[in-house]
Amino acid sequence: MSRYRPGLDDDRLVGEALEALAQDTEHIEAPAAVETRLRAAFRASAGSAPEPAPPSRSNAWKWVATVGVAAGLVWVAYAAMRTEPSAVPAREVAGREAPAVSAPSESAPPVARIAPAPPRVPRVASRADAPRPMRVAASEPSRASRRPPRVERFEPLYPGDPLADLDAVHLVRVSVPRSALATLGWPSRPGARDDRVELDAMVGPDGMTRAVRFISQ
Amino acid sequence: MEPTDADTPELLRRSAEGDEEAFVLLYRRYQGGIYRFAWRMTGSREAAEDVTQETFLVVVRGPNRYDETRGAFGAYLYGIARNLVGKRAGRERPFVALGDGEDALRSPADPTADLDRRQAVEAVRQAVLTLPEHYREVVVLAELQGLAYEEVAAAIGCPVGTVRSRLHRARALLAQRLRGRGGAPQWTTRVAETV
Repeated sequence: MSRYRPGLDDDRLVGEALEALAQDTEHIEAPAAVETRLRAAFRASAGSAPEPAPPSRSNAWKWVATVGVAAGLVWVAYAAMRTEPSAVPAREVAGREAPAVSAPSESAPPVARIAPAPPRVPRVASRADAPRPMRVAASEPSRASRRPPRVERFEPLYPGDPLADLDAVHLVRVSVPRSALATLGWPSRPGARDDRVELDAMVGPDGMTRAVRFISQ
Repeated sequence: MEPTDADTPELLRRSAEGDEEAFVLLYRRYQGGIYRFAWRMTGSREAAEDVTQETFLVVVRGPNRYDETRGAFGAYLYGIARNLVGKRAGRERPFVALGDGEDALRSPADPTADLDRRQAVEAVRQAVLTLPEHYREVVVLAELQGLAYEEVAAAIGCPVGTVRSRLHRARALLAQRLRGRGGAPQWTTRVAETV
Protein backbone atom coordinates (compact mmCIF):
# COMPACT_ATOMS: atom_id res chain seq x y z
CA MET A 1 0.00 0.00 0.00
CA SER A 2 1.39 3.41 -0.94
CA ARG A 3 1.69 6.10 1.69
CA TYR A 4 -1.12 8.65 1.69
CA ARG A 5 0.01 12.16 0.76
CA PRO A 6 -2.56 14.77 1.83
CA GLY A 7 -3.65 17.12 -0.96
CA LEU A 8 -1.50 15.55 -3.61
CA ASP A 9 -3.43 12.31 -3.77
CA ASP A 10 -6.87 13.59 -2.88
CA ASP A 11 -7.91 14.56 -6.36
CA ARG A 12 -6.69 11.33 -7.88
CA LEU A 13 -8.35 9.26 -5.22
CA VAL A 14 -11.61 11.18 -5.50
CA GLY A 15 -11.51 10.52 -9.22
CA GLU A 16 -10.93 6.84 -8.64
CA ALA A 17 -13.69 6.69 -6.06
CA LEU A 18 -16.13 8.40 -8.37
CA GLU A 19 -15.14 6.05 -11.16
CA ALA A 20 -15.78 3.08 -8.90
CA LEU A 21 -19.15 4.51 -7.94
CA ALA A 22 -20.03 5.10 -11.60
CA GLN A 23 -19.05 1.56 -12.55
CA ASP A 24 -20.96 -0.02 -9.73
CA THR A 25 -24.18 1.79 -10.53
CA GLU A 26 -24.04 2.02 -14.31
CA HIS A 27 -26.38 -0.90 -14.86
CA ILE A 28 -29.25 0.54 -12.85
CA GLU A 29 -32.33 1.26 -14.90
CA ALA A 30 -35.84 2.43 -14.26
CA PRO A 31 -38.34 -0.26 -13.24
CA ALA A 32 -40.48 -1.73 -15.99
CA ALA A 33 -43.55 -0.23 -14.37
CA VAL A 34 -42.41 3.22 -15.48
CA GLU A 35 -42.43 2.14 -19.12
CA THR A 36 -45.86 0.60 -18.68
CA ARG A 37 -47.26 3.80 -17.22
CA LEU A 38 -45.63 5.92 -19.89
CA ARG A 39 -47.04 3.70 -22.63
CA ALA A 40 -50.50 4.19 -21.17
CA ALA A 41 -49.96 7.94 -20.98
CA PHE A 42 -48.71 7.98 -24.55
CA ARG A 43 -51.79 6.13 -25.78
CA ALA A 44 -54.07 8.47 -23.87
CA SER A 45 -52.24 11.48 -25.23
CA ALA A 46 -52.28 10.20 -28.78
CA GLY A 47 -55.98 9.45 -28.49
CA SER A 48 -56.89 12.90 -27.27
CA ALA A 49 -54.73 14.80 -29.72
CA PRO A 50 -56.54 16.24 -32.71
CA GLU A 51 -55.88 14.06 -35.67
CA PRO A 52 -54.11 15.91 -38.47
CA ALA A 53 -56.62 15.23 -41.21
CA PRO A 54 -55.31 15.62 -44.73
CA PRO A 55 -57.61 17.55 -47.07
CA SER A 56 -58.62 14.46 -48.95
CA ARG A 57 -59.99 12.90 -45.80
CA SER A 58 -61.78 15.89 -44.40
CA ASN A 59 -65.14 15.00 -45.91
CA ALA A 60 -64.91 11.44 -44.74
CA TRP A 61 -64.01 12.58 -41.24
CA LYS A 62 -67.00 14.92 -41.14
CA TRP A 63 -69.27 12.18 -42.34
CA VAL A 64 -68.03 9.75 -39.73
CA ALA A 65 -68.37 12.34 -37.00
CA THR A 66 -71.86 13.22 -38.15
CA VAL A 67 -72.97 9.63 -38.16
CA GLY A 68 -71.38 9.11 -34.78
CA VAL A 69 -73.13 12.05 -33.19
CA ALA A 70 -76.43 11.12 -34.76
CA ALA A 71 -76.08 7.54 -33.63
CA GLY A 72 -75.26 8.70 -30.15
CA LEU A 73 -78.30 10.90 -30.00
CA VAL A 74 -80.50 8.12 -31.29
CA TRP A 75 -79.11 5.65 -28.82
CA VAL A 76 -79.59 8.01 -25.92
CA ALA A 77 -83.08 8.81 -27.08
CA TYR A 78 -83.96 5.18 -27.43
CA ALA A 79 -82.66 4.44 -23.96
CA ALA A 80 -84.69 7.33 -22.63
CA MET A 81 -87.80 6.05 -24.34
CA ARG A 82 -87.46 2.74 -22.63
CA THR A 83 -87.01 4.27 -19.22
CA GLU A 84 -89.22 7.35 -19.45
CA PRO A 85 -92.76 6.51 -18.34
CA SER A 86 -94.54 9.45 -19.91
CA ALA A 87 -94.25 11.33 -23.12
CA VAL A 88 -95.38 14.72 -24.23
CA PRO A 89 -98.40 14.58 -26.48
CA ALA A 90 -97.51 16.03 -29.79
CA ARG A 91 -100.79 17.79 -30.15
CA GLU A 92 -100.16 19.60 -26.94
CA VAL A 93 -96.79 20.67 -28.14
CA ALA A 94 -97.91 21.67 -31.57
CA GLY A 95 -100.79 23.67 -30.30
CA ARG A 96 -98.72 26.51 -28.93
CA GLU A 97 -96.29 27.95 -31.38
CA ALA A 98 -96.13 25.17 -33.87
CA PRO A 99 -94.73 26.24 -37.18
CA ALA A 100 -95.90 24.80 -40.43
CA VAL A 101 -93.03 22.71 -41.61
CA SER A 102 -93.24 19.86 -44.01
CA ALA A 103 -92.98 16.21 -43.06
CA PRO A 104 -89.60 14.54 -42.97
CA SER A 105 -88.61 12.92 -46.17
CA GLU A 106 -87.30 9.40 -46.45
CA SER A 107 -84.71 10.52 -48.95
CA ALA A 108 -83.49 13.38 -46.88
CA PRO A 109 -79.85 13.25 -45.81
CA PRO A 110 -79.24 12.10 -42.27
CA VAL A 111 -78.31 15.58 -41.16
CA ALA A 112 -79.53 18.67 -42.87
CA ARG A 113 -78.11 22.11 -42.47
CA ILE A 114 -80.37 24.68 -40.93
CA ALA A 115 -82.09 26.96 -43.34
CA PRO A 116 -81.00 30.60 -43.30
CA ALA A 117 -84.26 31.64 -41.67
CA PRO A 118 -85.28 28.71 -39.53
CA PRO A 119 -88.94 28.40 -38.72
CA ARG A 120 -90.11 28.96 -35.22
CA VAL A 121 -90.26 25.64 -33.57
CA PRO A 122 -92.63 24.94 -30.74
CA ARG A 123 -91.61 25.32 -27.19
CA VAL A 124 -92.29 21.94 -25.77
CA ALA A 125 -94.81 22.28 -23.01
CA SER A 126 -94.33 24.12 -19.79
CA ARG A 127 -92.07 23.09 -17.01
CA ALA A 128 -95.00 21.62 -15.18
CA ASP A 129 -96.17 19.21 -17.83
CA ALA A 130 -92.95 18.56 -19.66
CA PRO A 131 -91.11 15.41 -18.72
CA ARG A 132 -87.96 15.93 -16.79
CA PRO A 133 -85.13 15.79 -19.25
CA MET A 134 -82.76 12.99 -18.57
CA ARG A 135 -79.22 14.22 -18.00
CA VAL A 136 -76.94 11.94 -19.89
CA ALA A 137 -73.57 13.54 -19.44
CA ALA A 138 -72.50 14.97 -16.16
CA SER A 139 -72.35 18.71 -16.04
CA GLU A 140 -71.00 21.02 -13.38
CA PRO A 141 -73.74 21.40 -10.80
CA SER A 142 -72.14 24.38 -9.12
CA ARG A 143 -72.00 26.36 -12.30
CA ALA A 144 -75.50 25.32 -13.23
CA SER A 145 -76.83 26.34 -9.88
CA ARG A 146 -75.31 29.79 -10.11
CA ARG A 147 -77.11 30.85 -13.25
CA PRO A 148 -80.34 29.54 -14.67
CA PRO A 149 -79.91 28.04 -18.10
CA ARG A 150 -81.03 30.05 -21.11
CA VAL A 151 -83.14 27.83 -23.30
CA GLU A 152 -83.30 28.50 -27.00
CA ARG A 153 -85.87 27.40 -29.56
CA PHE A 154 -85.93 23.98 -31.09
CA GLU A 155 -84.15 23.70 -34.38
CA PRO A 156 -85.23 20.91 -36.73
CA LEU A 157 -82.60 18.47 -37.82
CA TYR A 158 -84.53 17.48 -40.91
CA PRO A 159 -86.35 19.60 -43.42
CA GLY A 160 -89.98 19.75 -42.58
CA ASP A 161 -92.14 19.63 -39.51
CA PRO A 162 -90.34 17.73 -36.77
CA LEU A 163 -93.68 16.95 -35.12
CA ALA A 164 -95.57 15.71 -38.16
CA ASP A 165 -97.08 12.25 -37.82
CA LEU A 166 -96.08 12.05 -34.20
CA ASP A 167 -98.35 11.15 -31.35
CA ALA A 168 -95.69 11.77 -28.77
CA VAL A 169 -92.13 12.97 -28.49
CA HIS A 170 -89.53 12.51 -25.86
CA LEU A 171 -87.17 15.16 -24.66
CA VAL A 172 -83.67 14.06 -23.84
CA ARG A 173 -80.99 16.35 -22.52
CA VAL A 174 -77.53 15.43 -23.76
CA SER A 175 -74.08 16.94 -23.65
CA VAL A 176 -72.00 16.84 -26.81
CA PRO A 177 -68.61 18.31 -27.77
CA ARG A 178 -68.92 21.69 -29.41
CA SER A 179 -66.82 20.40 -32.28
CA ALA A 180 -69.62 17.96 -33.09
CA LEU A 181 -71.96 20.87 -33.78
CA ALA A 182 -69.94 21.89 -36.80
CA THR A 183 -70.66 18.55 -38.38
CA LEU A 184 -74.35 19.17 -37.83
CA GLY A 185 -74.19 22.49 -39.59
CA TRP A 186 -73.92 24.83 -36.64
CA PRO A 187 -71.05 27.28 -36.60
CA SER A 188 -68.56 26.67 -33.84
CA ARG A 189 -66.30 29.16 -32.18
CA PRO A 190 -62.66 28.56 -33.06
CA GLY A 191 -60.61 27.24 -30.21
CA ALA A 192 -63.60 25.82 -28.43
CA ARG A 193 -63.38 22.30 -29.71
CA ASP A 194 -63.17 20.79 -26.27
CA ASP A 195 -66.15 22.65 -24.84
CA ARG A 196 -69.27 20.66 -24.27
CA VAL A 197 -72.71 21.90 -25.15
CA GLU A 198 -75.90 20.84 -23.49
CA LEU A 199 -78.94 20.47 -25.68
CA ASP A 200 -82.40 19.00 -25.54
CA ALA A 201 -83.16 16.49 -28.24
CA MET A 202 -86.72 15.98 -29.40
CA VAL A 203 -86.99 12.29 -30.17
CA GLY A 204 -89.86 10.58 -31.90
CA PRO A 205 -91.21 7.15 -31.02
CA ASP A 206 -89.10 5.69 -33.80
CA GLY A 207 -85.98 6.80 -31.95
CA MET A 208 -85.04 9.45 -34.48
CA THR A 209 -84.04 12.85 -33.22
CA ARG A 210 -86.26 15.41 -34.90
CA ALA A 211 -85.07 18.67 -33.43
CA VAL A 212 -82.70 20.03 -30.85
CA ARG A 213 -82.47 23.16 -28.76
CA PHE A 214 -79.44 24.48 -27.00
CA ILE A 215 -79.19 25.04 -23.29
CA SER A 216 -76.84 27.92 -22.65
CA GLN A 217 -75.42 28.61 -19.26
CA MET B 1 -21.33 7.24 -22.09
CA GLU B 2 -24.70 8.60 -23.07
CA PRO B 3 -26.48 7.49 -26.25
CA THR B 4 -26.05 9.76 -29.24
CA ASP B 5 -27.87 7.84 -31.94
CA ALA B 6 -28.39 9.69 -35.14
CA ASP B 7 -31.94 8.47 -35.55
CA THR B 8 -33.19 10.23 -32.44
CA PRO B 9 -34.74 13.11 -34.46
CA GLU B 10 -36.53 10.59 -36.63
CA LEU B 11 -37.82 8.74 -33.56
CA LEU B 12 -38.95 12.02 -32.09
CA ARG B 13 -40.80 12.91 -35.26
CA ARG B 14 -42.53 9.55 -35.37
CA SER B 15 -43.33 9.78 -31.69
CA ALA B 16 -44.92 13.18 -32.22
CA GLU B 17 -47.09 11.60 -34.89
CA GLY B 18 -48.36 9.04 -32.41
CA ASP B 19 -46.00 6.16 -33.11
CA GLU B 20 -45.86 4.41 -29.75
CA GLU B 21 -43.01 2.12 -30.70
CA ALA B 22 -40.86 5.10 -31.64
CA PHE B 23 -41.56 6.64 -28.26
CA VAL B 24 -40.71 3.40 -26.50
CA LEU B 25 -37.44 3.17 -28.41
CA LEU B 26 -36.59 6.69 -27.31
CA TYR B 27 -37.55 5.89 -23.75
CA ARG B 28 -35.43 2.76 -23.63
CA ARG B 29 -32.52 4.61 -25.08
CA TYR B 30 -32.51 7.40 -22.51
CA GLN B 31 -34.30 6.09 -19.44
CA GLY B 32 -31.23 4.51 -17.87
CA GLY B 33 -29.26 7.72 -17.87
CA ILE B 34 -32.15 9.79 -16.58
CA TYR B 35 -33.00 7.28 -13.88
CA ARG B 36 -29.40 7.00 -12.72
CA PHE B 37 -29.03 10.77 -12.73
CA ALA B 38 -32.13 11.18 -10.58
CA TRP B 39 -31.10 8.39 -8.25
CA ARG B 40 -27.58 9.73 -7.84
CA MET B 41 -28.94 13.19 -7.20
CA THR B 42 -31.66 12.24 -4.75
CA GLY B 43 -30.40 8.99 -3.25
CA SER B 44 -33.92 7.63 -3.47
CA ARG B 45 -35.20 5.08 -5.94
CA GLU B 46 -38.77 6.23 -5.51
CA ALA B 47 -37.78 9.79 -6.32
CA ALA B 48 -35.73 8.60 -9.27
CA GLU B 49 -38.71 6.67 -10.58
CA ASP B 50 -40.96 9.68 -10.27
CA VAL B 51 -38.44 11.99 -11.91
CA THR B 52 -37.90 9.57 -14.80
CA GLN B 53 -41.60 9.22 -15.37
CA GLU B 54 -42.23 12.95 -15.21
CA THR B 55 -39.34 13.66 -17.54
CA PHE B 56 -40.70 11.43 -20.27
CA LEU B 57 -44.23 12.64 -19.65
CA VAL B 58 -42.98 16.06 -20.71
CA VAL B 59 -41.94 14.44 -24.00
CA VAL B 60 -45.33 12.74 -24.29
CA ARG B 61 -47.24 15.96 -23.68
CA GLY B 62 -45.04 18.21 -25.77
CA PRO B 63 -43.14 16.20 -28.34
CA ASN B 64 -42.36 19.30 -30.35
CA ARG B 65 -40.88 21.31 -27.50
CA TYR B 66 -37.40 19.98 -28.10
CA ASP B 67 -35.35 22.30 -30.29
CA GLU B 68 -32.63 20.37 -32.07
CA THR B 69 -30.58 23.50 -32.62
CA ARG B 70 -30.20 24.11 -28.91
CA GLY B 71 -28.45 20.89 -28.04
CA ALA B 72 -28.67 17.13 -27.95
CA PHE B 73 -31.87 15.42 -26.94
CA GLY B 74 -30.08 13.79 -24.02
CA ALA B 75 -29.06 17.17 -22.65
CA TYR B 76 -32.64 18.34 -23.09
CA LEU B 77 -33.88 15.40 -21.04
CA TYR B 78 -31.24 15.98 -18.38
CA GLY B 79 -32.37 19.59 -18.19
CA ILE B 80 -35.94 18.49 -17.53
CA ALA B 81 -34.85 15.91 -14.98
CA ARG B 82 -32.61 18.45 -13.29
CA ASN B 83 -35.52 20.86 -12.89
CA LEU B 84 -37.67 18.10 -11.47
CA VAL B 85 -34.95 17.10 -9.03
CA GLY B 86 -34.58 20.74 -8.05
CA LYS B 87 -38.29 20.99 -7.33
CA ARG B 88 -38.13 17.93 -5.14
CA ALA B 89 -35.06 19.26 -3.37
CA GLY B 90 -37.18 22.07 -2.01
CA ARG B 91 -39.39 19.54 -0.29
CA GLU B 92 -37.05 16.69 0.53
CA ARG B 93 -33.47 16.33 1.56
CA PRO B 94 -31.29 13.85 -0.32
CA PHE B 95 -31.80 10.35 0.96
CA VAL B 96 -28.48 9.20 2.34
CA ALA B 97 -29.44 6.19 4.40
CA LEU B 98 -27.05 3.32 4.03
CA GLY B 99 -28.47 0.42 2.11
CA ASP B 100 -30.54 2.13 -0.53
CA GLY B 101 -27.95 1.43 -3.15
CA GLU B 102 -26.45 -1.73 -1.80
CA ASP B 103 -28.45 -4.04 -3.98
CA ALA B 104 -27.32 -2.05 -6.99
CA LEU B 105 -23.71 -2.97 -6.39
CA ARG B 106 -22.09 -5.81 -8.21
CA SER B 107 -22.22 -9.32 -6.93
CA PRO B 108 -19.04 -10.34 -5.17
CA ALA B 109 -16.29 -12.49 -6.53
CA ASP B 110 -14.42 -12.24 -3.24
CA PRO B 111 -16.92 -11.45 -0.48
CA THR B 112 -14.34 -9.86 1.82
CA ALA B 113 -12.80 -7.63 -0.81
CA ASP B 114 -16.21 -6.82 -2.17
CA LEU B 115 -17.42 -5.73 1.26
CA ASP B 116 -14.58 -3.22 1.51
CA ARG B 117 -15.25 -2.00 -1.96
CA ARG B 118 -18.94 -1.67 -1.34
CA GLN B 119 -18.36 0.22 1.86
CA ALA B 120 -15.93 2.54 0.11
CA VAL B 121 -18.25 3.14 -2.81
CA GLU B 122 -21.17 3.66 -0.50
CA ALA B 123 -19.15 6.20 1.46
CA VAL B 124 -18.45 8.08 -1.76
CA ARG B 125 -22.07 7.90 -2.80
CA GLN B 126 -23.22 9.38 0.48
CA ALA B 127 -20.55 12.04 0.30
CA VAL B 128 -21.84 13.01 -3.15
CA LEU B 129 -25.34 13.28 -1.74
CA THR B 130 -24.16 15.72 0.91
CA LEU B 131 -22.74 18.13 -1.67
CA PRO B 132 -24.68 21.32 -2.39
CA GLU B 133 -26.97 20.75 -5.33
CA HIS B 134 -25.09 22.89 -7.84
CA TYR B 135 -21.91 20.95 -7.08
CA ARG B 136 -23.64 17.61 -6.89
CA GLU B 137 -25.19 17.94 -10.32
CA VAL B 138 -21.89 18.60 -12.08
CA VAL B 139 -20.28 15.69 -10.27
CA VAL B 140 -23.14 13.39 -11.19
CA LEU B 141 -23.37 14.52 -14.80
CA ALA B 142 -19.68 14.77 -15.59
CA GLU B 143 -18.12 12.14 -13.34
CA LEU B 144 -20.85 9.56 -12.90
CA GLN B 145 -22.96 9.95 -16.04
CA GLY B 146 -19.93 10.48 -18.26
CA LEU B 147 -21.23 13.57 -20.04
CA ALA B 148 -18.79 15.90 -21.74
CA TYR B 149 -18.40 19.31 -20.16
CA GLU B 150 -20.27 20.85 -23.08
CA GLU B 151 -23.19 18.49 -22.53
CA VAL B 152 -23.21 19.26 -18.82
CA ALA B 153 -23.21 22.96 -19.61
CA ALA B 154 -26.15 22.48 -21.98
CA ALA B 155 -28.07 20.44 -19.44
CA ILE B 156 -27.70 22.89 -16.57
CA GLY B 157 -27.66 26.02 -18.68
CA CYS B 158 -24.35 27.56 -17.77
CA PRO B 159 -20.99 28.17 -19.48
CA VAL B 160 -18.47 25.38 -19.74
CA GLY B 161 -16.07 27.36 -17.58
CA THR B 162 -18.60 27.34 -14.78
CA VAL B 163 -18.91 23.59 -15.09
CA ARG B 164 -15.15 23.22 -14.79
CA SER B 165 -14.88 25.47 -11.77
CA ARG B 166 -17.82 23.85 -10.01
CA LEU B 167 -16.40 20.44 -10.68
CA HIS B 168 -13.02 21.43 -9.29
CA ARG B 169 -14.63 22.84 -6.18
CA ALA B 170 -16.91 19.81 -5.84
CA ARG B 171 -14.02 17.39 -5.95
CA ALA B 172 -12.22 19.37 -3.29
CA LEU B 173 -15.32 19.30 -1.14
CA LEU B 174 -15.67 15.58 -1.67
CA ALA B 175 -12.10 14.96 -0.59
CA GLN B 176 -12.63 17.16 2.41
CA ARG B 177 -15.78 15.36 3.47
CA LEU B 178 -14.39 11.93 2.87
CA ARG B 179 -11.20 12.67 4.74
CA GLY B 180 -11.33 11.80 8.39
CA ARG B 181 -10.13 14.18 11.03
CA GLY B 182 -6.39 13.99 10.60
CA GLY B 183 -4.36 11.23 9.06
CA ALA B 184 -5.09 9.22 5.98
CA PRO B 185 -8.75 8.76 5.18
CA GLN B 186 -9.95 5.21 5.40
CA TRP B 187 -12.01 5.54 2.26
CA THR B 188 -8.95 6.45 0.17
CA THR B 189 -7.04 3.36 1.11
CA ARG B 190 -10.08 1.18 0.55
CA VAL B 191 -10.81 2.63 -2.84
CA ALA B 192 -7.16 2.63 -3.85
CA GLU B 193 -6.90 -1.02 -2.99
CA THR B 194 -10.04 -2.09 -4.74
CA VAL B 195 -10.23 0.03 -7.88
